Amino acid sequence: MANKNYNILIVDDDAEFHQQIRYAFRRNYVFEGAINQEHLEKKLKERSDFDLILLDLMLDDSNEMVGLDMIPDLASRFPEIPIIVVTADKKIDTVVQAMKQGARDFLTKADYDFDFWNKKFQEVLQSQSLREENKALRQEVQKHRDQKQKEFTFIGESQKILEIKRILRLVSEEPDITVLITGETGVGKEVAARFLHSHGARKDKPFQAVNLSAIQKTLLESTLFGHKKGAFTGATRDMEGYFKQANGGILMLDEIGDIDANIQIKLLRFLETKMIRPVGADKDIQLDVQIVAATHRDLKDEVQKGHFRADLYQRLKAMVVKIPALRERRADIPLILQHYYPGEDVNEIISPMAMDKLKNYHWPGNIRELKNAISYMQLRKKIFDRKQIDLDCLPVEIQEFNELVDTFYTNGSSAPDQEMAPTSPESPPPPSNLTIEEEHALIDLRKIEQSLFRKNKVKKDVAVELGLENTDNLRYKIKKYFDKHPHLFKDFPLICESYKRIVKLEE
Amino acid sequence: MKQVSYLSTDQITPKAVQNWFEQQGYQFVPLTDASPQPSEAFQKIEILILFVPFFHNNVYISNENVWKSFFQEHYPDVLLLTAGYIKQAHTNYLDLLQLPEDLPAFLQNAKSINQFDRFPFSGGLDVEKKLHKFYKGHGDESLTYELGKIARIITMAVDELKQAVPFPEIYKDLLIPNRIIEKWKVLTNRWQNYLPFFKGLPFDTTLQEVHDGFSSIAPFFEGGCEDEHLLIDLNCKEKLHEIKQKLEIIGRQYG
Repeated sequence: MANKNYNILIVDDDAEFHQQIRYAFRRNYVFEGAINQEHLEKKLKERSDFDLILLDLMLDDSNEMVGLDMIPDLASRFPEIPIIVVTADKKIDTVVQAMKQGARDFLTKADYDFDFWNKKFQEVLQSQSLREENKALRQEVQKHRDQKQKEFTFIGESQKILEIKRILRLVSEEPDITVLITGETGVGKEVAARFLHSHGARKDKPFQAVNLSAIQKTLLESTLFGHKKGAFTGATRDMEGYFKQANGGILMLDEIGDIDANIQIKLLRFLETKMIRPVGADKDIQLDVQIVAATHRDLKDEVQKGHFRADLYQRLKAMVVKIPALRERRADIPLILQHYYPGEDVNEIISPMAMDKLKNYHWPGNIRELKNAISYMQLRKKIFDRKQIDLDCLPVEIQEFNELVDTFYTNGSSAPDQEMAPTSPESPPPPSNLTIEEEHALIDLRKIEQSLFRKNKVKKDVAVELGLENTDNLRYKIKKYFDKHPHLFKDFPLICESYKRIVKLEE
Repeated sequence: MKQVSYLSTDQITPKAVQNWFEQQGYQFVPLTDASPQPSEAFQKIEILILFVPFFHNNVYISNENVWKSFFQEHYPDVLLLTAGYIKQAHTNYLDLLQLPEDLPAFLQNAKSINQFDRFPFSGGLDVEKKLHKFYKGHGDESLTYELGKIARIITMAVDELKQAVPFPEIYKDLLIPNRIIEKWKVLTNRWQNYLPFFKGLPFDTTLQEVHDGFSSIAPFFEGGCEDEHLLIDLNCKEKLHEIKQKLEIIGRQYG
């Protein structure tokens, strides 16, 4: 198999040899040639994306192997271009020397054989492709890790979070202690576990997280502890479980409150002995794994109800870290939002009104819900073609949420803008027989009307508030809506008044 | 009676010393198979004298160290001596102008083949240097370098024929641009020049086979390389490959 896309550079002082190789391999590769070192340098200056260099060792009549001396320099400057030495000399010493200098392979001119040479080219080219692929994969993995790290950055400067971070740092110095992380769903228990991992002695070892409630009960034991081939129907080969995969590092067992009694016993055994036995195995395996358990359940309560073993609970609660709900650390909301808008100023992206709404919301789904809201808001911003995320872009439940505003005040945070409680008459609900276009126009017009009210009809301020570049854009928008839907304007007196020349309602 | 064998390109000198050997109690016999592969003839030899330098085609040739390599490789128990008319001081050199009084004592004193490095230079044309040039080098004198080029081009030509490329195209695109006819001439000229120097060497038989190999494919080249049938029927690719292999075997030891 050959690939015409491969570019091969022949370096040889024998012009006829160039012609022969080009001729013999014309169907397989694209060739360029250099007849001496100077010419080679010129070629490499023109382009450095050759896939292979075929290098003769004797590049002049001096009988000196100048090519041999060129290999280390070429190999260090162009590590991605493999070199095959092609020469008349087939002394073992020369071969060894060339390979030591960095040549990938060696061919003797006198032993030309198309298939053999082609095989060598392919081997080197493919091994190089593999190297590059590996390199790309490694970069991809690193990128993925970075991305993962970014996803799992423990964001927060609130007092509660700073204290938790301090505790986790201290706990991370104890690589064998079992940690129980509690908190509502979506508060970032895995984030906290990863924070612990990244700051501790096990940071260069694996981190495995497994959501126990997401795994079928019948499969849980083998998923966690592994199994031997033939242990059960369908076990066609030995399989490592999460425990083994996490050996040396941390295993995070999320939703530990959901596991059944059988797994609870096995887990307890591991915590006591650090040993596991894969399903179907006749020997225990000693492991070095730190367990970080997490749950949204009240384990104490579960113990009392008889759902959770008391001895396991005792083991797990050696170190308990409770992650507060997002509503208990509202000050971190802008920071979290900023994290998802890297390189941008979140205060420019999100209008003050929308930001207040976001800060006031009670976030029952915590950070997970906030992340989903961000995606939703982005999409709505695009749909509405807004410069900023405004109230219209927020999920309905956030838009309509007012309950916690009072709580928010009582917590001593800054008061929301007066826009939160507009004194202008609320716009009427859209008639049910409106088209989508009309509904969108209504949403926009309502917003303009409210803004005109808030900004005392100062158009420039209204434009800024609505994220428009200038008043011309605002005027254009109104004209566009009026041209298409004049009947909608009767409910917006401030717009009609401010844009008398455009909005001419029939009496 | 003990036997001393000898190798010589002229008959006069051995005859001149034959009586002396017999007087010393040794049968003095020529090695009849003068261009041997390792053979039975050599297995019987205990003492061998090389008359140096060899004289062949009006040229004196020093090839004693090539023979030494041969015996060292195949028959290290043979007591190898040289004999000649020039002055040399070596335990294994028999000065024909000053023969020793006591041959058994001389032979007793001579070193076995593994005990000395080389014979001193006997004054003729140095065959080892010729062999080196024959095999090595990137320049004008190497025969194997030239042979390698021709073999490569012919291999490519036959490969192309197998790919159903018409021979005229191969001729035009490969043979002519690579001056195959010229190369053949260079090769055969070099061969003719080298061959006389390699006469009387241990691999003489192989060289004769190589010579025959060249002769068998010569019609294709001498016909201007235009006849596709000659290329195939004369097995040019295979013959060249065989020749290369034969020469490589010699080259590995003597080249």
